Amino acid sequence: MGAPRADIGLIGLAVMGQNLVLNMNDHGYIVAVFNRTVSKVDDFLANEAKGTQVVGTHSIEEFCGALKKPRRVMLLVKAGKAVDDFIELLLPHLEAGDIIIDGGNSHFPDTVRRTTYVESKGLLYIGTGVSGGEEGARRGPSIMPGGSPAAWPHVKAIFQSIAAKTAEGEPCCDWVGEDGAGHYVKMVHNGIEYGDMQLIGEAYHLMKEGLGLSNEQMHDVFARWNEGELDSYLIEITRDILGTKDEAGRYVLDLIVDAAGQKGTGKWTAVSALDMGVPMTLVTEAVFSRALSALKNERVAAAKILTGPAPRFEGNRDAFLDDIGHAIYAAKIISYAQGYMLMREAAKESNWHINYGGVALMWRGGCIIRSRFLGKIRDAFAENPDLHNLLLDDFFRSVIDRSQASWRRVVARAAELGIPVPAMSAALAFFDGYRHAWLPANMIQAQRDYFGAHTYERVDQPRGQFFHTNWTGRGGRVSSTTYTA
Amino acid sequence: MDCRMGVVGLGVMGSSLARNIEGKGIPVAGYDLDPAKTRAFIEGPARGTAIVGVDRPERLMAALERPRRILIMVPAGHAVDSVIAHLRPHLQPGDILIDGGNSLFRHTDRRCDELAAAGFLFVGAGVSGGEEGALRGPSIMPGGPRDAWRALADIFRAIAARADDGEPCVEYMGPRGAGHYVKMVHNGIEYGDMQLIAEAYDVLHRGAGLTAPEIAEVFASWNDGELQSYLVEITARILARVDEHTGQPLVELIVDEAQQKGTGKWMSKTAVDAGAPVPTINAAVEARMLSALKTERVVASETLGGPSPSGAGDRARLVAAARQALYASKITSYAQGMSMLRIASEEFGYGIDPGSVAKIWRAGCIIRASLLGDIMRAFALAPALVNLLLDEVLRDAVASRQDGWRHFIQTAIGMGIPVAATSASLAYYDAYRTARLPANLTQAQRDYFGAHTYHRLDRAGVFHTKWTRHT
Repeated sequence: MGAPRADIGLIGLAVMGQNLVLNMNDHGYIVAVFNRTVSKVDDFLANEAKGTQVVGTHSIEEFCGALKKPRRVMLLVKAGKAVDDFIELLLPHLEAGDIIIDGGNSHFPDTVRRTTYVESKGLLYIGTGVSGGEEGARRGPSIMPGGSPAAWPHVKAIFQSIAAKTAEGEPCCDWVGEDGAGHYVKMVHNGIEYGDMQLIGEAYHLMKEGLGLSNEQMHDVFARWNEGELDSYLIEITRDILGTKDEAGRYVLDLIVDAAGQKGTGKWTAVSALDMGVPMTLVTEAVFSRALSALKNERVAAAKILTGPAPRFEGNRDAFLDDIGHAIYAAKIISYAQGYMLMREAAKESNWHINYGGVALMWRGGCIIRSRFLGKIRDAFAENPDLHNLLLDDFFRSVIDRSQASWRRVVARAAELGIPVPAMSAALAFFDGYRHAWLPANMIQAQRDYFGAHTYERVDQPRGQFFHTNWTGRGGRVSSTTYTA
Repeated sequence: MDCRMGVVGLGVMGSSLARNIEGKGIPVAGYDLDPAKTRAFIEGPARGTAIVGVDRPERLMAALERPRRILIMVPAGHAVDSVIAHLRPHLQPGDILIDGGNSLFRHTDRRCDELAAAGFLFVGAGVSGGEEGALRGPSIMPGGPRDAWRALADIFRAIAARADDGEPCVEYMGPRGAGHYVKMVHNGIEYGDMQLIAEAYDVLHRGAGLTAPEIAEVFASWNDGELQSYLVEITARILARVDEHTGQPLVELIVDEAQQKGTGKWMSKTAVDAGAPVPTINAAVEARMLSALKTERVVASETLGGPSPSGAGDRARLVAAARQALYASKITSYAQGMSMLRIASEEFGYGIDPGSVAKIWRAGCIIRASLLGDIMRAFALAPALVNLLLDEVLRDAVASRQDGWRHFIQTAIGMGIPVAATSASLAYYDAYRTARLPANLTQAQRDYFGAHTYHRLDRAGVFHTKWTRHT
């Protein structure tokens, strides 16, 4: 065997892995590949990778021997145990300074643990989110790497060359932060994706049931929206979906069962937000909406029994359509503001130094939530890197100012028509809560003190002083330490 | 000696429960790892009672008849494990440990299994009612080995609250962590109730311009009707309370940052994991989180524009609508909570009977309400009831309040008052009664970008489409 010549190695030749290899090859990198089922290596070389510079290997030893130092090994295997197994298989064949990269959808606590473990062996570790599906992997995904900071200079050129590019030619890949930060940001991305999809679903529901629009009409609306401020991948594919017919000339969308699946990353975002105490209200509503949609049989039965208003809109239909577009945009701003609040809180908790403007840039192209809107978020952070909340940025504030009346009309109208818009409505409630210095939580504190002696603070006394009132006139002189409600 | 029960941990809840047990003529021993606390209790609140104070685990064991029944009342988490470790060397096979705190059901699962392997019986019992309930009769939700329940039933029945029909508010909930799971759902529902009440208060206060004493009267009158419940009752009392220093309504002097200790979050997280929709309860959890961002809100309030509550709403109409919205939302919230019980039974094998749960929530606990009688009746009529909203009485109760419910939300939206939990309830109701939701689009999108495939209405199988691009 000659001198090692591969720039990077990749293990796991499923669709995502194959496409990333071909993408790297296109950019002039020599990639060594290995797969647990070894025959797949030969299949790949004989078919998809035919005529490329890809180096096929048939054992871990051969694979590691083919790599230039420091060795860069990227895993694209199923999240979970498979990642740990491959790390163990690789370690005996790697040496100090080599880099293991997990490009799968791993849960961030696993990446935190693995970074510590691999670093303890003298190696470097990267956990990176890769978004964009098959197509993105082949033509340019969004790549969100985090882990050992010392590893970044060694993978930066490869990653940035294969990543998606913005219209200005900037790569949608930058260093996110320490240990699990890359996978965390990917998780938040997926949570936001849930919110975006839910908002579009609600708009579709309002148009279809409220306005009685045909698929063709809705196709035109989404096509128009995609030319304006709502321009985004998800609006674009919704337009395409509304226009797609099967061989028999029927709209495919109308034939699809309305029970939404979910794989887990949306749930992870919701759970992490609850842990951190950050109200990610659109993500949780989206997760619950999918769960409720999955109760299809129950709903069909309930629809025959539970009554409600007739969902027919009366009034200026064009104006209402415009209102729906504004409602999506305003609610979307809230959703991204919440996502950034979550990343900030997680960074504080885990001591990560997250590059927030960089995150917007990484999401600007290649990934599922890519949109024109993300360029604006990036601008906001470029202008003010310490921006505490997106809602306080002048641009977004002015968008909300001009969308607000429409947004309120849509949510109020939906309540009247009996059409559920949980995400639009949760977004509005968040906005109305966030912009009010006073909320009725004083009542909740009073109730907790009443039944559980949990104490409260007073507005006319310095904070940090806790008071308990003997509300009943009986017992209750001691405040609670053990009872939790 | 032959005390029938030992109580370990003499904080607010532990000492109140010990006094309750003693008051029923049941010999009881009290023990705290901090001897000063034991002494303070025996010489203070327990003075003149027959409660036996002990200062060492050996003495606790000696004071108890066998099998020993030991009720642990310490904060959830590490403290429970350390108390167990502290007592364990002194236990004999067949002895029963009861954790009466707010432990996470998964922890109770683990402790049950660990102690069962050593020949001990471990019971996780939810206890609700606060200090007052502990003293005068709480609602008790025990789970664990059935043998342990048999050895505890008479004591628990004696100390539990009694519903109007004289039935004690305690039933065996199921194996392992079932009792603590039910308590978690109870607390989740409590979060929902409290947030819904806070939203009604907000709309009446800022929206309709009612003063605290006026709102106190509104809540007091509601408490005479279908909304009769402990939380509505105490809300009326809270609103009526005048601060002795300032002469102002006390509620208005309390900082509007709601705290939370965890059980609400557990409920949300468990529901998210299980794929069980509990949007009302979750909205309540998230509303508390938002309230806690007080400093940020104060800053934002100076920058973010929007309608301000005018206080000029049609009072009579808004008060009536608030009542309807509160009751309809409450039913919807309980429907979500009761569904969680069914899902847990499927996922964790707890076999919880929702009818029994409703029965023991009728008195003693924080969420006690006349609605629970209707819920108990609904499950008695149809034990396999899939969703409370499908019960005829509750269905009509919601249907007849829809106009007010929708009006309340519309008014709040127009005034810029956040009513997150009330809105989430309505959205749940409207989605649940919709045979065809827009989730077909979600499935199409997932198939488009991730080849996740979908099911069709007209054919069995799994499908993937090559979607047409329109450029």
